[in-house]
Amino acid sequence: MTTKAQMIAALKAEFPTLRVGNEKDGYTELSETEYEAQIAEWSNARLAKEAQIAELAAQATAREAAQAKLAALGLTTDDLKALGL
Amino acid sequence: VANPTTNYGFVLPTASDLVTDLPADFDVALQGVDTTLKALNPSTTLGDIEYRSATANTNTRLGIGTTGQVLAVSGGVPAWTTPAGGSGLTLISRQSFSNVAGTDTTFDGVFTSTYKTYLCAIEQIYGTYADDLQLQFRYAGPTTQAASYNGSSITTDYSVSTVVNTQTSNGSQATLNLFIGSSDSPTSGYIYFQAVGNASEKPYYQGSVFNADSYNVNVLGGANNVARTYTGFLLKSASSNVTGTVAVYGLATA
Repeated sequence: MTTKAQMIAALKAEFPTLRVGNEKDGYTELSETEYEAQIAEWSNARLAKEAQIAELAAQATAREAAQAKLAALGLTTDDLKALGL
Repeated sequence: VANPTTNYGFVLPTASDLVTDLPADFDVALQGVDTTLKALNPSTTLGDIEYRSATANTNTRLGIGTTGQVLAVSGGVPAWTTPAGGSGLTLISRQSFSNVAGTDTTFDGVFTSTYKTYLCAIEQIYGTYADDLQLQFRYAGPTTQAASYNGSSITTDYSVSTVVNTQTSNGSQATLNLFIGSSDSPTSGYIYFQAVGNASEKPYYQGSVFNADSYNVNVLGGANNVARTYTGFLLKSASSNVTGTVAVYGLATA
């Protein structure tokens, strides 16, 4: 599991500077304070995403394990539905 | 030629008229022609047009309208009129941006009292593939509204039979989809905004976005629970830069 400090370091390596703006009006680089705040926000988002992906993976693993148990008993999910489960 | 003439009744000299009377006779005939021509063509100015009046053989002059006006009917006659709020869709702003932390001030000031409904056309937007595409409203200051978002985005995928509902509950931004996509597989779509720009109201949005890589379609909608006079919005990715082109249109109210 990635720590917040590790995630911040990774993001800073990926985005050494940050900017806002558009092609018409031009771009402005974020100040140091703005940059730190943005990186902190992104690190939280990426950590949350990591946790979400890990949870989904765990759910998929559990589902596969349950299906393997059913198969070992010669049952399918349709059999469980037929039993009202 | 009939005398007087068939259509306009011009009186012409006759064979029995004295030669000495011909100048006066032609005066009468041609003055009649001149008067009738002017009645039929009363134009005086560049851009004038004429239409038939209630009086036979007499047209009415209609001076040119102003830029943006259209020819309509008023009281049974043609008239130049100004369409209320413009006609159809009016482009307010179309901006391209590259590798920005968010669109920030780019779409500030696009919501005004001119329109009730605004259409945001996301021609394309992308960042880091598996990042969320997010939306926040902006208001005078300009300041980003970073709280009180409620909504959902229903995702269907071409290869998966299950449907995913991404819920935003009292969030700091609205999540539009879970895969903003990358340069060769960007997100595109549209969002309608209402209750913005006119008065202090709780704004809402709804629309649909599509990701060209995962082929997932997102039907989305939501609102912010804080009433303000919102003047714009920003788009961003949850944790990376974004690149894209987005246009905002106002929808005519009449």
